[in-house]
Amino acid sequence: MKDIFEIPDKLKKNLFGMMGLGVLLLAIGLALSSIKIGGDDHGHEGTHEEHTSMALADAHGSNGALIAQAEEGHSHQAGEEHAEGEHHEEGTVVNGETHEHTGAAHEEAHGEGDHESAEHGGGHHTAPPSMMAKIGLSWMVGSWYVLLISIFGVFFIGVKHLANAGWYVAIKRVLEPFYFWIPIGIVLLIVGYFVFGDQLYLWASETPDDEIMNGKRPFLNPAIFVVLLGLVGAVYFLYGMTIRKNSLKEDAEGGLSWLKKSTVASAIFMPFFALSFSGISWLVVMSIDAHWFSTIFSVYNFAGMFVMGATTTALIVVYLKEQGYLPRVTGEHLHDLGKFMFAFSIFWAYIFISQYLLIWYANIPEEGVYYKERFDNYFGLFALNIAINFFFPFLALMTRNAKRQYASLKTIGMVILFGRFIDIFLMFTPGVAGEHWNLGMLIAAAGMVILQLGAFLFLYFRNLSTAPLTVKNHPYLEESYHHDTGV
Amino acid sequence: MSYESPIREPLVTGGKGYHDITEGVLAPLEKKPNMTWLAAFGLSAMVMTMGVSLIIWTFFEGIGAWGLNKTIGWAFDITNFVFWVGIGHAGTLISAILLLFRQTWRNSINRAAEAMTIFAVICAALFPLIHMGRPWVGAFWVLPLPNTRGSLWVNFNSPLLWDVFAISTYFSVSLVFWYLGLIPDLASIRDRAKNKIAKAIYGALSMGWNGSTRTWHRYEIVSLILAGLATPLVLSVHTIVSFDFATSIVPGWHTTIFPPYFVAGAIFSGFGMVQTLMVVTRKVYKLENFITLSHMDAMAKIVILTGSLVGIAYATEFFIAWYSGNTYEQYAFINRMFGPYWWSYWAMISCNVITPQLFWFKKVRENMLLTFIISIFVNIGMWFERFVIIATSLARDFMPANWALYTPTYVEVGIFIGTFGVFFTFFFLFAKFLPVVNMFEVKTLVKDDTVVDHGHHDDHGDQHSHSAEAGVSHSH
Repeated sequence: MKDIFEIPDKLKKNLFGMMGLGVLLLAIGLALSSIKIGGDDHGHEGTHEEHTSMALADAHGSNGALIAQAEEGHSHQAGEEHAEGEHHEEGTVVNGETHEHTGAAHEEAHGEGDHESAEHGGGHHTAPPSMMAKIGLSWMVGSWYVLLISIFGVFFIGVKHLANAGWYVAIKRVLEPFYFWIPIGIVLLIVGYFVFGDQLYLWASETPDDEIMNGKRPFLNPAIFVVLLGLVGAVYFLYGMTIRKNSLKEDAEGGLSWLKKSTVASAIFMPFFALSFSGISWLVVMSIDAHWFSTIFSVYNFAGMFVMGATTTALIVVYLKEQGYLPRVTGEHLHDLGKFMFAFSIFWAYIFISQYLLIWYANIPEEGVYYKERFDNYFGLFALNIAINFFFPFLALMTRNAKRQYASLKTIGMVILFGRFIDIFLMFTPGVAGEHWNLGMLIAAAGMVILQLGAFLFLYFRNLSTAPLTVKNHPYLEESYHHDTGV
Repeated sequence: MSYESPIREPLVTGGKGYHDITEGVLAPLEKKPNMTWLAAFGLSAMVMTMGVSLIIWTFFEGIGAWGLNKTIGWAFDITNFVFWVGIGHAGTLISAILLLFRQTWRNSINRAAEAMTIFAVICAALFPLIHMGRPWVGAFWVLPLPNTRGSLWVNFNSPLLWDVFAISTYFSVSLVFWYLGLIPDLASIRDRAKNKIAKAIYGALSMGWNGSTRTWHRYEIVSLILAGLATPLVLSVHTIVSFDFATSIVPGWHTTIFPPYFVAGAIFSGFGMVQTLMVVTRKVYKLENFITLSHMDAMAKIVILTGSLVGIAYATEFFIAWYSGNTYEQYAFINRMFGPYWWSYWAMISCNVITPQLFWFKKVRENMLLTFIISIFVNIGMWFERFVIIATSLARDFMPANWALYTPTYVEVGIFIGTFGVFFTFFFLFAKFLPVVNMFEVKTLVKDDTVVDHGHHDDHGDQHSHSAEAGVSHSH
């Protein structure tokens, strides 16, 4: 039985096809989203009335700063932004500083300040996003998506080492190459920040009047962004590389020392992971809604990360099995991966409801604004998110067979990966595009995810093929071969 | 079938066979109680009596006998409630989640941990009950009973009510689970009982267990179903307890990370208590071969995991309070650290976050004295955590004119100490009359090739064949 993976031409073709499709979808999406601007404005007027009826004084602020601004006599700023949106579509980022010279336009346009205040609650961007903003949005969504998958690889291996787990050893080699993408994903995020940052992040520009925003600047600034992400990229990569190296050495030399070394490395890595993962999810994702905050946010991203990582792993194992590799990997291993997909979909839902219910219940404007935006302008996606990320896997993965059969795992896995995209899209977009989002942006972001996923898989399989698919000499290998889930 | 790597430490040491397990676990049960047990039991019972007397005093006097005031309406009582509920979680985690994960090291600690869960929940439930002041009318406040008060119903919107449902479900499922696990072992005791009364009582309790294949088959299905049901309960109970605080708008209480953070803290405190009890039990009952150092090692690892998770939650809360730009949030956290209750905050940090880090070292994990000391720190720290959350946030609310401090009276302190009496009274009774280690599950961990030729047992006049013991009991 062959134990070294050779990339079949068909796979190569498919992956390049995937990247091509990604580029195509990106282009189509961006084109669609621009063509629709006229229609979008129309739709905008439609929602506009709804907002008027809903506009409440407290909805004004996504935070105390906005309220403070209003009190200081800046209450017409929201109106300015709106007017600006109407007249200066392209390239005007709506930040504190840009308002100053658009005041005139505002007065010529319409003067109702009340409805915009409600809109303003959601994001800082009341203007339709520029082309740069749309590309940046897709860029960040795609990069975050694939980065999370690759982070899962190192995280999961770390957990397994610390837990002294044996069952996963037969698929250890499948997990090892995930780390390869981490520095690429990190660089993509940093590049994304420098190219598109001012279109996406309120904090990437000066906001002289925004006290709350300025209060966060010791954390939300380019230096921290680069340093923290760089550190994460370096440490996660180094850890992944160490594990890979030890694993190959173990193949060659045997003995227990390599497992011990990897376990010690994992013990050092895991606390760093726990702290740094929170940091990057705040920096990259939460700060999109710059005024908003939620302590559970990093746990929410963690839960999603686990679901998509376990799903990707299961799909790759199924693919390798179908190609005739991994003869000692059985339904038992797939069953356990399936259980992880199932369990962490539920965990994701638990974290989702914890955040949602507490914010809904307390009804504090500065927090509630996050969901108000998503209710008003993204309700379809919001509902789909829960359906596809919780109800679907919960029901579909319930039975034993669903977790063991290739066909069902593939179908369910694909749907889950799509669901994860919807969730991540919903974390990024409302803060950038607000009510001006359209299907084009969704398609473009999906295109970017597919493009990066294609690239990720291409590098992944190349890296996978550099070593045997089964470890040798791992002390728990035999346990893994005899793994029995007990049901 | 399952295979175990030779480098793994055995879960039963000392070359014990089936019969040694039965003898080892049942020895304290079948002997007359010794002085140590009587003294410990007597002391616990006295402490319990003191607690009950003070509860009766509270009913007589009203909750004015406590140190609560207009600003701080929850303090010692609710702190104690959350403290005890949290402790219960380790038992459920061990019995349900570790069963689903097929972690066989749970086999020798699940019994005692589940018993601990039940006793802890009893202590916990006491506090909201007596906090009502007049619990005899409380049924109308907490149960959705049809009543003659028109359309006056309980407040379904309130997490306090959800708590009533969550905790009563939790208690019921834990009790059933624990009892179910006891049945095969009770049958073993029945079969070995020498006197008639014991035989009758254990016989009734074992519900006619006959150890047939069909009985075992049903038994296994029911356990798995109960484990499935109990798994969400591990999360739900403390999640809802956290909602009691987090659905409010009190700074320091309202934060979205509360549900998973409370669950992690609960498991942390629960394992702290399991460690405390196990260090003592394995020593006193000479169970070192069944509750081995690798069991203690595994528990220490869970303590360091959950303790660090709690530490990350503290850091997250603190960071986001700053990040939010909300002055009230910021003040709440500064006040925790440097306000009038600073000592409770630092007690919490040092006991929950700092001392458990010693468990990173294998030497510490396998040193029972240090494990015992650290586990006591965990218990103390988790009590302070709840006190910090509850009392410091209330002490400094939105209106400075209302600011107040809280000092417990001897009645509250006495009731809290009294619950330890309740807990240990139950625990000592359990340890005397029921097997503290799940015998039949531990037996699944040993390969007893002594069944045929391990001759010395005949000397004991034991009528049981080893194979019957493996199957736990005779069929009658």
